[in-house]
Amino acid sequence: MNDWPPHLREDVLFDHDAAFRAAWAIDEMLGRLSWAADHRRRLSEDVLCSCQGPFVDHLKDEVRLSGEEAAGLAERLRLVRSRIADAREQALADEIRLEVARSEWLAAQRRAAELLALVQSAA
Amino acid sequence: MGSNRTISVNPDSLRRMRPESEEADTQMLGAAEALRTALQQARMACPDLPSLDPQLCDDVALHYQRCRVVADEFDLVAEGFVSSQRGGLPSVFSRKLPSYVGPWADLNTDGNRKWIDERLRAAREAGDAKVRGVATAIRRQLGLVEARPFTVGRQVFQAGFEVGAGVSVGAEVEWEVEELSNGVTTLTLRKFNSVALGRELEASLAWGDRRVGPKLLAELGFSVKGGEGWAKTFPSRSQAESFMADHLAKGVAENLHVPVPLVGLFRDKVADFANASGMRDAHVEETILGGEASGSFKSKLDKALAGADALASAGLTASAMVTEERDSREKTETDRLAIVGALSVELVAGRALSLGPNVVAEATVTRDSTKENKGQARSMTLRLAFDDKAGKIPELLGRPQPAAGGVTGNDTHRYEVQVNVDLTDVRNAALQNELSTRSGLEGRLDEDANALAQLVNLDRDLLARSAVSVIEQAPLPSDEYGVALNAVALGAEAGVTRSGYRTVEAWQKVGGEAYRQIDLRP
Repeated sequence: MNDWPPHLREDVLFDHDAAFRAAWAIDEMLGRLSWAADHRRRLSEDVLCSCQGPFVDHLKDEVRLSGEEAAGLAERLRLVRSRIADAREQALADEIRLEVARSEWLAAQRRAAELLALVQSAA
Repeated sequence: MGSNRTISVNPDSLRRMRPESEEADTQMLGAAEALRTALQQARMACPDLPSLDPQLCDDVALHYQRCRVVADEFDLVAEGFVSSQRGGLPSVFSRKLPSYVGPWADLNTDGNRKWIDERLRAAREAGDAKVRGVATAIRRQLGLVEARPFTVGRQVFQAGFEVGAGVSVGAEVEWEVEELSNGVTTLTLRKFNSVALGRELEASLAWGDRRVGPKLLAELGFSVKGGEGWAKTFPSRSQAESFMADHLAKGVAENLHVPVPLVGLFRDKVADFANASGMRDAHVEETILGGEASGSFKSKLDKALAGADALASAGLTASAMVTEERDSREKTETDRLAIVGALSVELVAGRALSLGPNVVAEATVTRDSTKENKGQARSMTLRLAFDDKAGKIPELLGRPQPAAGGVTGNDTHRYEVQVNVDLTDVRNAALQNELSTRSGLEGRLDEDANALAQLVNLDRDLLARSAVSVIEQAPLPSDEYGVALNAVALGAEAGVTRSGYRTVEAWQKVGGEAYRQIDLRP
């Protein structure tokens, strides 16, 4: 374990495993929401096409509203997925920057040690 | 809007509207749970993570619940479609249902909550059983509790007469106005005929010409009462009272056409009487049959014993009444089995003292009267009513007594504890099976007695699933006018009374939650 200076001591906090599982769950939910909404829409069009009356209108409204809510939820799920993706990319970038800074710091330490050894041997 | 009578729908197609099979449901909700856990872990690892819509998983779960309600609606349509096909009238899709209830509203905003509440209220007030079924399903699946309407006021106007000697016959007309907490008021007209047998016994001990000890008088009676009733509902009490005031006069006038006033009540033309009283289109009809046994014992005390001319008495009355209500709008038959017991002790010596409870134990079972589901029990109501001193509610609910200033006193109030059991709840299926029967009234009495027995030994889980109301009622000012005539061997009595109660405090709990006090409207 290196003795990092204070500004390089903290690792980047991000749970990549949790982010992966969240993204998988969102993909799964998006697929199921979309399939169910589509199924309701197609089935109601099939079975109610030859009927009319206030009751049918109500049922159609229910199906339409269920589709609208499913679409709204899908939009929110996609937004969360994109925020997670942004945060993951940001975390990866921060990790890379941290690793680069640490390597540069290590290289500087190494060069300083070599320079010190050279000076001592010359003296 | 026109109806389409050439419907070519396979009911199985309607039932396919349930795309969320149990397995798919489990997978979807499992994914939502996985997302919830992952987001929590991600936030714990990185507190600076931007907000990730904390309500999202709950909203997805709610969406799925609503989807199931839509599927239930299509199931109901499928059932209606099948039954209408059987009846040769494929018109289920063209029925006009202005109060049709759907599940789609964002419950997170007050405006939409009001919207769904209004639709649910409209559904409750509508007579359509299918709509009420949808409303019940919505409430159950969205986890909404339903406050049951309870009685906030009841007034009874009675007019009757009795004539006879030893065996007497009587007739009585009763108008009852019952106002519920949701504003709906039921006006019920009942017409009774009765036969009563009474005996008076006297006993005393004499020594020579001198009586020893008090004189004992005993009165024993037995009566049988039967009648018919009609009920209508009104949106408000004032409308019900206005209707009653209008038709009370017409009903009396109808009877005054008979040479001897009130004797018209004996006439067998029940339908004429109902029509004259404005009940031609009543949607509830009742048949009532009951019996009463009473005994009272009086002792006339000597001045030497009581210091004044005094009469002590004790009375015991027990009656049982069976009422069958047939509701053409709700398509139900309701049996009400009531047992009333009263015990009174009085000592009249310048001051009157009256003690003793006036207890009513009542079980009401409502069953489906449609051809398809004839006899299937829908709901059961258990009621216990009694008189006691004012301010007993905390004691009844097991709560600490209020500090000074609470409503207490020596006034006698009426208390009612009512348990409403929804037998269409699948968790009450066993009891529903027990109380369901396709028999006539005679055959149903066994099951009704079983329902009454529940009052004695009510299952704790069943109670937790039911709505319980506890109300305290104060008596309203009452009037009583009467006249009695006694000839050589014949007596006659006629009278008019007005009495009633007004609810002063009400508590209710639904589905196992804690009791909450209900605000009473002014």
